[in-house]
Amino acid sequence: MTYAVATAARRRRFPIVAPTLAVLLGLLVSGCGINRIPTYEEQAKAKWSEVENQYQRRSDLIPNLVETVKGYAKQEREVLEAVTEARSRATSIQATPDLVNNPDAFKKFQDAQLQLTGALSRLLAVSERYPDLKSNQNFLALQAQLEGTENRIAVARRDYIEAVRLYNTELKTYPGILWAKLLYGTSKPMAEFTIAEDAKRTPQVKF
Amino acid sequence: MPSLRLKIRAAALALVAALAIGLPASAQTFPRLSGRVVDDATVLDTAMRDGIAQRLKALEDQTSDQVVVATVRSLQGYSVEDYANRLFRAWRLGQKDKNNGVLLLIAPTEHKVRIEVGYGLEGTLTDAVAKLIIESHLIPWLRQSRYDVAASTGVDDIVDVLAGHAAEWQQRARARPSGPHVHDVGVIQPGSFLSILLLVVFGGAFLLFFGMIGFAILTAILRLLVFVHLLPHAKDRQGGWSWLNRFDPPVDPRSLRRSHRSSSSSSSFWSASSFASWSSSSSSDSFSGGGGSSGGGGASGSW
Repeated sequence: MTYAVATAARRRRFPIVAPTLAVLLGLLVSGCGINRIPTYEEQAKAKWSEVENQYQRRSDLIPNLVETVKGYAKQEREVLEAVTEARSRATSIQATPDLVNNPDAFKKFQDAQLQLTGALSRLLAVSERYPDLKSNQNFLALQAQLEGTENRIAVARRDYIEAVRLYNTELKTYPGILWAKLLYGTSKPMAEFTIAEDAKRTPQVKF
Repeated sequence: MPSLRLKIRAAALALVAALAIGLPASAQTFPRLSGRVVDDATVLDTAMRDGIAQRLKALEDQTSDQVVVATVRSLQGYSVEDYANRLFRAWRLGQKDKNNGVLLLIAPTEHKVRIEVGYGLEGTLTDAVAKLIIESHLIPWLRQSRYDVAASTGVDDIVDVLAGHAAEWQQRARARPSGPHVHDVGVIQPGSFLSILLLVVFGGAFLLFFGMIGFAILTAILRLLVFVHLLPHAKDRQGGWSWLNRFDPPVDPRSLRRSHRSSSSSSSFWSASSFASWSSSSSSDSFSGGGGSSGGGGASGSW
């Protein structure tokens, strides 16, 4: 008898209790941001790979560019050597994904790439003095690719900075900070770029 | 309690600071993507604009590539590369899975032009080809302030490249292949037993969750239909309608009233939302971006 009453009561309350439980469960699973730290971390890492890709792409363009310029402007040996040297220094730093968690190595990588940017823009500047070089189709194509790559680097860096900002903010704010303490002890804030805005500009080439 | 007051003041200050920092980030405004030709600077004439738009529509029908021409009054202090990339992403040009959009941006005030190429077309419309188009075909017209001819010529060139003459153009730009091709790197998800287990558990919870909601909505709708006599009431039901019994409200009169109220409110919610979706779909017959993105490919020039 009591059992029947209890089941009847349970059955009558079921339409209210079950959805409430379901809502709570749903909130617990989706609203708490348990996945946000690893998601943001992977996104930032992917953005970093894109930055590395674009630096690599620039690096790959350089030998061809140096050869082309050499054919027309042998006397600019100093500038050409500076580019080659800066390139070899930049490529000697192993660009590994965990670079972003190592501020010292990150800074070294960034300085080397910045130096290469400077050497390249000097090379393009002196190329202006050689009309034959400037009208060379291969040089023009390489120059366009180099400019494009510099721009891609700028975009990739902007995306990386934004992804890191999201990730670092998630690590430091509620509720992410709780999950970081509880589950993701190995997730550390990532390094950000700290170069002045003018240094990031693409080498300006006037035609 | 001075410390508490200090804390409150600090919190208020922080809030103000956050608002002040947050403002400039949202300050950048872009022209609306009103069609395939967005003439914000009003330098193109109507007939030319329509002609260009038609050619671009034909291209999209053929190849699904989305090409958009935009003229802007001001670059708002950004470099043309930066502005073009942000505009491209704001408009989400190109199909989502192909990223096959191209933006031809002309800024008459700053005397800058750029062809911004989506990720998916970087191999077809290369930087060198884009540069060639700009330098040899656009700049001469732009120097004479013939923006409409420049836009039309640029579109013709871009369409020619995208519609299958890419090799020819690359030959003309003589871009010697150099270095390995760079691929996009996606997010790598570790596929372990634990993650599959979690997926099953959470997926089950989600299915259960939305199943419950669906059941509640279905119940509400059916009760409403019964209430307005579109479906038979409990006492009139024959054999074929017996399944309806399980959606009936409890017989307690108080809960009956409550269920009526809830069902009518949910039905008004439904009609409101369906009206909203209907009205939005009827007004969105114009052109819109397909969800593509760009990583800064392309070329720019100035005159």
